[in-house]
Formats: sequence, C-alpha cells, structure tokens
Amino acid sequence: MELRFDESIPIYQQILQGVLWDVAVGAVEPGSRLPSVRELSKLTRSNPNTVQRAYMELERMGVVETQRGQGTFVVGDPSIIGEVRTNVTSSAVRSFVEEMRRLKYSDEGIIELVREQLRNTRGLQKENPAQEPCESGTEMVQRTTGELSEVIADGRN
Amino acid sequence: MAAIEMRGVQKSYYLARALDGIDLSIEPGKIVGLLGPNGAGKSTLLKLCAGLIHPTAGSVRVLGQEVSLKTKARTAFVPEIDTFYGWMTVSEALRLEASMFADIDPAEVTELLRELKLDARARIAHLSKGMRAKLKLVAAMSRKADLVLMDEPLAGIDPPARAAILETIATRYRPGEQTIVISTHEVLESEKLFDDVVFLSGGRIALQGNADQLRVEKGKSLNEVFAEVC
Amino acid sequence: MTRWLALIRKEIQASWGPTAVAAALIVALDTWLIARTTAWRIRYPGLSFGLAMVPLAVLMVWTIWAGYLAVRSEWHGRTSMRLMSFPVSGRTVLGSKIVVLMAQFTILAGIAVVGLLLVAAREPGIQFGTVGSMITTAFKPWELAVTVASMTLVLLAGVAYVLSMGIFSFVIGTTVARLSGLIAVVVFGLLGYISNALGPLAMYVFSFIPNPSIIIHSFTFGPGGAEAATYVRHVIPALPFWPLVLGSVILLLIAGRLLETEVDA
Repeated sequence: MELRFDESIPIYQQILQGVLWDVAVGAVEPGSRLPSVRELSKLTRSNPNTVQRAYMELERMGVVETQRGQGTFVVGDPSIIGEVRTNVTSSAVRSFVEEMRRLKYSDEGIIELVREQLRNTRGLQKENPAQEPCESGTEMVQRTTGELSEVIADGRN
Repeated sequence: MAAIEMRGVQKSYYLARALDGIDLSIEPGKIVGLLGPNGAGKSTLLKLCAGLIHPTAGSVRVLGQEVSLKTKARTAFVPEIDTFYGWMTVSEALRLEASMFADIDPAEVTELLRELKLDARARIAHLSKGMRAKLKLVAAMSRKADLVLMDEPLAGIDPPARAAILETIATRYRPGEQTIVISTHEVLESEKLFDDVVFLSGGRIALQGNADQLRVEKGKSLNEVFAEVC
Repeated sequence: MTRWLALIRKEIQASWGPTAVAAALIVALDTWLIARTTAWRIRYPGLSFGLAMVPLAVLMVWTIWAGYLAVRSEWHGRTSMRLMSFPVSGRTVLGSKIVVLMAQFTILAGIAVVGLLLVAAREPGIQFGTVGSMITTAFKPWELAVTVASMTLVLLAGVAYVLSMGIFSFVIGTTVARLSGLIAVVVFGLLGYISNALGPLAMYVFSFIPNPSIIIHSFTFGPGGAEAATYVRHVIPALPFWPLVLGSVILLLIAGRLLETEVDA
C-alpha cells in the first residue's frame, strides 16, 4: 500500500480508507496479513498511534482481526469482503455523481460521459485487475478528478 | 502525570521576553509538534524542559517532578546545533553517551548506525551536516528515554536525510510509553507524525489541540493552520 | 564506569596530545642543556640552569590561562549544551576538568624539575655548591623530605587555586551575553585583589589547625667559616595551604552551580 496524503483530511481516516480500498479491489487477499503498525507508520511517515487507531477502527468494523503476537489480518469471511466492496464502490459512485452534478451535467450527460470513457479505454482493460498493483482510493480520486477536468476543458474547446 | 507541565512560565533575556506566560500541559505517550516561526520561543521552551535554562517566573515540571538530574537522566535532548566533540569518532561519542545514560541499548545503536548508514569509525568533524543530524538522532533514539525533545531536527537537511530521520522517529518511537516533542517551523513533511500540536507565536501559545481534530475543525492541513495562526 | 570517570576520560582524550608534545619539548630542551652545560659552565656559569627553569616559568604562566581555556573550549566548540544535558552536576563537570589539569601540571612540572636537577648536577657553581653542602649538613633526610613535600603541597594548592580562578572567571563571563571575555578578565583581577586582601586573615584563621610544615634552619657563621656554622631549626607552617584549597573548592562549587542554571552555547 502506498498512500499519498491530503494533509487537510484527518490522517487516520485516510489510512482507514486506504485499507478499505485495498480490500475492495483485492490488493490484499482475504486472510492475508496487513503491514504491522510499525511498518505502515514507517512507510507513510505517520504516527504509529494514528495507524493503530485506524487498525482498531477496522477491527471494530469487522474488516480485520488482530492476533496477538502475529499481526493484523484481513478477515476471511467473503460476505464481509463483499460488504466492504459494496461500501467503497457506492462511496466512489456517490462522489463521482455529486461531482458531475456540481459540474451541471444532466443524468443522461453523465451516463454518456461514462460510456465514452469506457469505449476509449476498452483496449487498456487489464485481464486480472485484482492481481495488478492498484492505486489507492485517494489516488483514484485525484486521478479521476484530474481526468474529468481535462475532459471538460476539451469539451469547451 | 503530565509529561510536561508549565504554569505561568516566563523567560526573559534582559529586556527581551522569549516566553510570556506559558500554561502548557503535554500528555505522556504522544508525539507532539511544537510549531511556530523563528523566534517564537520554541527552543527556549525545549531548553527549559531539558534543564539547560531556568524560567524567570513560573514553574516547569517534567515527568511529574521539578527539572533535576533525575529528569535529565530520563530525557533526551536533541539540539538544533551540532554539539558533539568534533575530535571524537562516532563510536567514541556514542560511548560517552552510553556512559552518561544507563538506558542506552547497544544493539539499537548498532542497528541504527547501520540503517542510517553511519560509519562508527568516522571522525565527527568530517561528517556532513546530514550525517551529524542522523548521529544526533541515533544518540537520542537508541535510548529508552521517557521524554525526547527535538529542536528543529529537519532544518537544513536534504530530503533523503529528512525522510530517513522521519522514518527513524516513526519506527523507534514507543507509543504510550514515550513522549516526543518536536519543534519545527517547517510543518509540511512532519505533520503526519504529530498526535497533538502546540502553536507558538511571539512567546505565547496561539493554539493547541489534537492534530486530526484540528484538521476536521478547520478543514485545513496543519501547515495551512500554521500560516493562519502564526 | 561512573559518569565522573567518563568525564575524566573525555578530558584526558582531549588533552593527552598537547601534553605529550609539551613533555617531549621539555625533555628535548633539558637533554640539549645537559649536553651544553659542560661547554658553558666556565664561560656562562648558571646559564643552563637558568634556561632549565624556563619550562617551569612557562608552566606558571600557563596556570593563569589554563582554567579559563579548559571551560571555554566547551563553549567554543558548542559542546556545552550536550555536556549540561547529561545527568551530571556542574561541579562534577568542573571537577573533572581541574583534576585533569592538575595531572597535566604535575606531570609536566615533574619532568621539568627532574630535568632541572639533572642540569644542576652537571653545573656545580660555587654558590650552589656552598648552599648544597650547607643543606646536606643541616638537614636530616626526613626534614628535607617533609619540607619538599610541604612546599609541593602548597605549590599544587596554589596551582589549583589559580586554575579555579580561571574557571570561575569564565563561568561568570558566560552569564552575561556581551563582553563575556572582558567580564572574565575583570573578575579574574578582582579575585586576585580579594585573595591578596583576605589572604593574611585566612592564613591567620587556618593557623589554628594542623598545616603542612616547612623545616628550615637558620645559621650563624662561627669563627671557623662555613664549616663551623651553628644551625637552629625552625618549623614553619605553610599557612597558605588550607586557604588555597578551600578557596579552590568554593570557587568551583559556585561556578558549578552557575553552570547548571544557564547554558546557552
């Protein structure tokens, strides 16, 4: 997991979202071990207490479980994984739709844009997306926002 | 028991007031950012906790007691300037630290020297600025000090060395047991490390609180809050 | 290793080089003088003896600066902040410095005195011979030993006191931000003046407790010349001893306390 942070949003929240995203896209397999608190705080150069808080919240949500002395593991239960996937997906869709509506697109306009994007990127679709290194939620937001702005700018010209 | 407790602390140098009425309580077991512009009084505050200077008025209590040799034994002070003996080698300097502080772990010393790529036989006078900054960190983080006070640990250091220093702090910090206070005027890189922050400006506390909470309240990064408040 | 010993080791590490060089220079000088004495003693009687005293004179002048410089090195190198963040008291720090300074002085003075005696042995001027024979006639070996020991003690106490004056003056200087060098010089001068003024009183006070003793013999020449002189033994207490020792301790304790209150490299 490699996270690029937005320091105006609580860090613990971003770590939380990052793990949920990784679980949702399958970057971490059910039952696999997450980086230790220490490893993740080193990687992200953030406070171990913050990482610990995120992990505890994830445990409370039932997404991970901590085994003393062994580490923190993603739960193996596929229904929970499915639930995470659903939540992350609907959150992404919600943000996207909100953003497009703020850009004053109609419902049909939004659907057409999505269709166009899917057409243009069809050849680039990877075979097994779950096994490729994935970008984090934050990165995705940043990237899609950037791309949408480009599309709009192109549309204006 | 607060890690640091200051009541009505004033520190004056002749006519200049470095600190003007500081009431501060720092909870133990956290990493605290002491943020403020140059001249705000951050160094002065840290030196008071380290027992290097004494307040003109008010009281300073550290680790539940008055500042004394006993608290010094449990405190690691990382000064802004280079304070090692230039004629010593890295290992001689660390041996002196070990003879002064019983809580130094020799295995940690070796490990940190290896991680930070410092040569134990190098003469300190020949080390670059970045390497001397790393050595300061080794001296402090190889101990099991209850209180670590860092004065501008990143100032004037190149980005790779900074990353190494931040990572070392993140990995060697003992959550819940150890309190680290880091003073800096460059907030960008280090802000993810802080549990709590104290903004100091003109010798007074401008704002303090939990880092993530402040982010929610203000909707800004700490760096942006810093610009607004100081 | 205790902290005090660790500090002493650090002081030794820092200063053994210059001490070794100084020792080598003294040895070289005395060796050369011993060689030249035979050539000089007719034409320039007493010259090599006089020259052999130079290292001792230099050492005396050194004591004035050495205390000051020893503490100043910590400020100059910015190491004072690290030193005072160690869990050691100010007096422990200064104590370690003065112990090593005294050792330096003793070693170098010892070498210089041995060299001086060796040069003197080669140069039996008439005056020296007469005095020498009178000393050996009058003094019993134990009396000579006691006198030499007492004089050495007083000398060392004096050296310790001058070193302490230098240390004290520097530390006072650090408490002011500007003109600290000038302040230190003024303080040093004041201390000298006060020591001089209070000296007789101090010596009187300490005359009531045991002091190291100096044994001298006064003599009157009888009709038979030097061989028939009569000797009267006097035992003189070396009164400056205790005041010098106490003065050194007081100065170092005060300076140590000051060191703890304010360290701003």
